[in-house]
Amino acid sequence: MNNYIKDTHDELLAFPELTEIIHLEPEQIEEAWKITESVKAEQGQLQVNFLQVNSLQVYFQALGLVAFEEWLKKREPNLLVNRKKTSLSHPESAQEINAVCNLQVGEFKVCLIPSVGFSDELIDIPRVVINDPELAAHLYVVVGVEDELEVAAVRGFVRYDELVNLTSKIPVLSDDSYEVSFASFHQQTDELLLYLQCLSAVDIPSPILDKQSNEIQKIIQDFPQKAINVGLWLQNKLDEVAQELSWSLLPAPSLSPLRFKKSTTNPVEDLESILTQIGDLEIPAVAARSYGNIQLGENQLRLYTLAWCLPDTEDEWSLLVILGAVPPNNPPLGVKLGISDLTGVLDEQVLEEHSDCLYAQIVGTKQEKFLVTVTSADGKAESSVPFEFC
Amino acid sequence: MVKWTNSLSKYYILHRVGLGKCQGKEIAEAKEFLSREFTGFNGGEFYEGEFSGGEEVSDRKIIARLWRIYKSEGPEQPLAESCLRCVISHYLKKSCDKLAQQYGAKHNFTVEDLLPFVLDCNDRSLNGGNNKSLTVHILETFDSDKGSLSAWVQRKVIGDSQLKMFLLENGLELRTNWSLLKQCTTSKLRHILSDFYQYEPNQIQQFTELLESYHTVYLGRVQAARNQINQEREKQGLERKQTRYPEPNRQQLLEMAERLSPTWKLSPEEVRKELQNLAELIREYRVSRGKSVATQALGKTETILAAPQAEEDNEVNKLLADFSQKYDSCFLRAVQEVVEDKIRFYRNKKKPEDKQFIQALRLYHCQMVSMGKIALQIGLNNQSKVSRLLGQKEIRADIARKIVNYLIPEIFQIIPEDISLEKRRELRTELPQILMEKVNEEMEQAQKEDSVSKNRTMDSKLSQAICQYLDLKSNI
Repeated sequence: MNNYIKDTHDELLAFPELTEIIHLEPEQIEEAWKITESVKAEQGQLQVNFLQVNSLQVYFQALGLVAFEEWLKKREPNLLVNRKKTSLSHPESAQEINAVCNLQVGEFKVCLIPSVGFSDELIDIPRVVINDPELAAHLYVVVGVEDELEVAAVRGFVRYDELVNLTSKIPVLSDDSYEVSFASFHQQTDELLLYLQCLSAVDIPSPILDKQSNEIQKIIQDFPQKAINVGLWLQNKLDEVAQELSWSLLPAPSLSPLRFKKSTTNPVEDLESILTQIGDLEIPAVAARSYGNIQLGENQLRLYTLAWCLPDTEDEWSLLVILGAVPPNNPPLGVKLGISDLTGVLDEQVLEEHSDCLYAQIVGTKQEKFLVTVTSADGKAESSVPFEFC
Repeated sequence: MVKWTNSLSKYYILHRVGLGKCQGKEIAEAKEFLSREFTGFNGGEFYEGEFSGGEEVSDRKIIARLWRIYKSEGPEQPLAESCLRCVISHYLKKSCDKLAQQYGAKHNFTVEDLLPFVLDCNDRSLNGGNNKSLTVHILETFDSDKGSLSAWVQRKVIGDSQLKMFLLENGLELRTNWSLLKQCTTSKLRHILSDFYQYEPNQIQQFTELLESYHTVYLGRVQAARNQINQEREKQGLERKQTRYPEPNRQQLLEMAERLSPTWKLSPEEVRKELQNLAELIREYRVSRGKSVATQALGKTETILAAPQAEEDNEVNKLLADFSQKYDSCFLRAVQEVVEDKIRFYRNKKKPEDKQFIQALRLYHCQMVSMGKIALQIGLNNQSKVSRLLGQKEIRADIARKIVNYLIPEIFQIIPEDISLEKRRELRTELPQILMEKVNEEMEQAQKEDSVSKNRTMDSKLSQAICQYLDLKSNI
């Protein structure tokens, strides 16, 4: 007989009363659910089969994220929150690291540590979110989520330097994480808001700052003085820089694509077939098309570029960059396509199996310069092409 | 034979909540029915016969009999239901009594706070908002073959989402085996099994797969619940919300068994047992780790920033010389902005609550109406919802922080130019906390003045400022 009373180990745990419980609206739960789904879908695409996808963990992370955002919206709506770079947008890390890294709040980098329920005394912190400068944060915030009751709470937080200090005294567990006592965290969440609103991120010792400033310096150093002027393409002209780089303009696609047999290599046709393959891109007929070849180590790659002015704007233009190989080759697996401006990397794509091109699109104004960088899988070979519009 | 008495009053006294109070009412038909149905019952006690022999045994037998009649659909069915409703109300009350006795004092609640969540109301219209009565839910879900009614009631009480929410708000959380499984990640489990229990790799693999299958099925259930909610959003409140989705039902156990079958052949019931075992392993680990981690907390980080030593920091004192004057000018601005922000926050909700918020704010701060009465006026069913809507504590904290935020640049303006860079940096990190303390002092002082007289008066600076702002706003 399956006795009800068998479930005897239900226990009520006491915890310091939270002043503020965040009630999640159905829309927010829906949003967390969508984040989970998209991570799941992307993982499916990446074919990460060696690790079982742990979506429940991702769901709790997503709930923590939407709850934290809701809390900030209520308590200090003037803080800018940017979740674009969080680990939840990078499925491979979302499942391996049980934390939401790289959440930008004002000038602070915040790492959310999800904790299921409100009473957990043990907080698991993956070592990598402290040690890896890419993932490290100024502030680590424990967000308790109670998915059944659809509530959450910001339970406590700790500063980077404090966390380093705390973890230096305790062992790393075999799953490469630390178990930190919750009692070691600041539990006055009003203090967290004081930090975010009134202090400066530079006052928290962390590896992030050095890295960021190094990165920016490198970009500024690397940024070439001269760039290909995309504006001239629209007048069917190439400037000196473009000529030096052996850039070629392409005519608009023929209206009767069957004129050539598929086997003949013709950049016009090649570009057209790539665009068809990519699908869902809206390219105006007036777009200027061009291409150039890039030698990357032993590989001959080809960069196609499409540029056009955005209608209904004063000075905005769009640049679509597609990385393929010089036919009949295929671009090597793992090759990266990146676009950066003076503030840093805007987009980066890595070539996965089963695809033979990479593309990225950006929108800029007439004062801006962009650097398109192609990097080999091992990072040893790199080649850049600068673009501007004037 | 020892004469044993079983108080039968629980089968004919119905406990319900009236306006804030629990009342027991004798149901005459039920009492009469009992004396007819159970020989040996003389109005209060059993002396002999089949229903004697220890309270638990006899209750089980009585309930089993009542249950049979209740399920029979015979003419006496409504009477049996009446008795069952009485005994359920008794167990509901008992469960709440137990909770209040055990935790009430420490967590600041009484049994009276709990009863409205579980008992039916005298006035049907007050019956727990949208939800179906817990008593009805128990009548629908109880299975007399699977255990005692008292245990079932207790479980339903503890699993009731409204009560759970109340306990959570008072610092108590229910931890079940299922919630332990839910929160344990697979990498954590591997660590626990390998390092703490020193299991063999193949065992670890098996248990990891078991946990994974539980997680997958659990998430599937969350999804199904969401889909249902999405479909039935309009027809809200038909089901009483019993949030125990962590506990897998037979169908789900079967699904897990299937998932595991390539490597581990288990029947659904065995899956359940293994999951319970696994939860126990996790629980033991946590208890042991909890103890060792407690010592870790000794090195706890108390304050955010080193508290500056006031006596030697003349620089700071100089800067704060005209603090009060500056404070006053920032205060009104901060109140206005924070109230505006909150109104915007409530307005931007899917179901905008800004009108309700403004009304509550006005009643509370300008007309000094109590939260209980505000609830009635603005159509919320209890005081705690008003308290949550007003968010007094948060508003105060947000205003204080905003004042600090205004003061910082003003103070930096008056820093003498010859001050060293090092000192500037130091000030920059310390000033927010110093100012925060000063602002809190100022606000606490104002609050003390408020609470001198028992009734809140218009003297409160904060209330005054809020009213002033609301008046201004309504005039525009």
